[in-house]
Amino acid sequence: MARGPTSAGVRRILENPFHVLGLPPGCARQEMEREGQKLLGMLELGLASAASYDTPLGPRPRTPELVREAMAALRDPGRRARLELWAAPVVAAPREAAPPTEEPASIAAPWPEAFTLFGWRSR
Amino acid sequence: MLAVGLAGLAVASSLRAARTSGLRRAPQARWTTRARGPLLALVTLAALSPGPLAGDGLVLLIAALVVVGSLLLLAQLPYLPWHLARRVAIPLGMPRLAYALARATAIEWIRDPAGGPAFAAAWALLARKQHAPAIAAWIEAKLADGAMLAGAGVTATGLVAASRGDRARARELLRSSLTMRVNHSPPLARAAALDWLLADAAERGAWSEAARLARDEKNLSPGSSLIAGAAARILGQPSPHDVSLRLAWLRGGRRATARPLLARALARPRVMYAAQARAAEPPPPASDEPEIDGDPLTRALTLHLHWLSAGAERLAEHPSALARVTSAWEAALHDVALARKVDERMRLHGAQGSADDTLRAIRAEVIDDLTELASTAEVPLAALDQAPPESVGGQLRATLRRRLLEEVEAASGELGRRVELKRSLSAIEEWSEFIALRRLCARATALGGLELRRLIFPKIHRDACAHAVWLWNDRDEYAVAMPVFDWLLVEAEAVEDESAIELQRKNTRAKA
Repeated sequence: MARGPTSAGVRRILENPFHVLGLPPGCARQEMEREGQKLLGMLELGLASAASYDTPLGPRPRTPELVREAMAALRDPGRRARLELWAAPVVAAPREAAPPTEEPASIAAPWPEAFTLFGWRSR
Repeated sequence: MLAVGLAGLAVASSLRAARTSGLRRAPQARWTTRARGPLLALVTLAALSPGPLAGDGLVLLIAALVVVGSLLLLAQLPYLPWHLARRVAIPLGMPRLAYALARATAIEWIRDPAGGPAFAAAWALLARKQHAPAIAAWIEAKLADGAMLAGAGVTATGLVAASRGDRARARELLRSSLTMRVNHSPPLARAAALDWLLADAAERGAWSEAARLARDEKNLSPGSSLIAGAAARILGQPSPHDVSLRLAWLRGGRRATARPLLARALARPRVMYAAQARAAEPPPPASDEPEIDGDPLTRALTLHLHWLSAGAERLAEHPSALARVTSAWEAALHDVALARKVDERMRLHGAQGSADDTLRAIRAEVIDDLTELASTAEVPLAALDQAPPESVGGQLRATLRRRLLEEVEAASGELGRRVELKRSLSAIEEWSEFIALRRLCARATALGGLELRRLIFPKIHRDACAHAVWLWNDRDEYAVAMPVFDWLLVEAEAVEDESAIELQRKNTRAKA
């Protein structure tokens, strides 16, 4: 499960309330409330189907705190307008295999014994 | 007569060797290095002597050899404690003994009498299996008690930081020790600083850094020569011959440890000329940027997320991508269809304000995200030169520029205020403040170009010059003050400030 990048900008997109609740940006407020309560109930019961949500960078863990924060954010109409824009669809980047390199990676690899050469300890 | 002549020659040669021994020797140099001159003279004279050596001639030669040998031993006596420190106390990790022995070899530390013994102790500390905080504190206290700070003292502090595991501080201090004037920097300390920096770069696999460090150094130790040569081979840069690499390996000791590095270096063919190296350079890695045919918002968001998630290191390889991201946002935030849609949505949900307010807030968030990313990636401001001032790219450029200026002004202002109030720090802390300011200025120049360098110069010149003058006149910290003048002269020449050039030329010629 993707947990990697944590910069504020990435979190802004990955923890967008619409992604957390699994709803489209155009959904109605009642729909949002209903989905939020349902997810909180499922999380309390420990159901695996509620334990993660989809993001443009892959699935991420869903927690009751994230769900509550998402519901609170979407109740504010001004904030919701911004969050709708940040939840617009994105195109996934092609993940190609790395091109074969001319040299084996070990040639430029770090040399862990470097300090030993001078009689020092690496700390 | 022959014996007297030879003895005289040997004495002169020994004295010369002793006098210059501190200048050119790498840490691994042996007494045989010092004896090379007189022995060579002896053998040459013997070879030039008329006729074969026999009878009295042979006796005379033996007598001369005995005299020369005795004189050589006598010439080595003052260095005996240091040999013990170097061969026994340091390898066995005995800092207090290394300190005492180094202190007894004052001739070795003429350029930094207080820092030399502390440097020997720090060297021994780094050879211990584990860091010893009490000994580290003892070394630092010895340095604080000492007279003026110079190259060996800075190197000692750097090695103590390395022993503590604070690699970043060790790196910064040891690099800075190389910028001290040669007459304030014992060659042994300088060579040890280079050894550590090259080992650190090799251990991290930072081969470009290793090659850069060694580029202008003429007196590398054999171990450092091997790392530098291997780095050049690995990077496909002009590098030494196979024989030179093997010789460095042979002379460096710990041959079993160094053998894999030698093998790596020899596995790459030697490049002799820079032009050859440039031709062999691989093309820059592909950016993996996705192809986007969607609406402007989808394009902007996709690029934004792609580069944010790729990270600063990746953006540093593709600085021009920043302009593509900002252009995409500029198009999205000026898209009439998007503004209409936002307006409709806001009315539907009963939000206060206008669509313009929402789009302005989005613009601010975008600039925040990209400022963090571009700042960490150290993208030059020139990458956004084409962006109009009011566009996302233009605003991002202005934010990055302001941040660079503020960093330098804050550090310089703090230094200036402290000097005005005569609030003194320990010499090593004074040096640390200066090198931090110098680093920030170098960063601002690298990212902001000559225009930013010109802008920051008057401020840093006023504050740093006052700092150095205070260190020189009131505190006798000549070794710390002189690199400040040297640096200010380089900066003044770069920004073509005639009055500052004249002042700093005068300062850099000052004698303690």
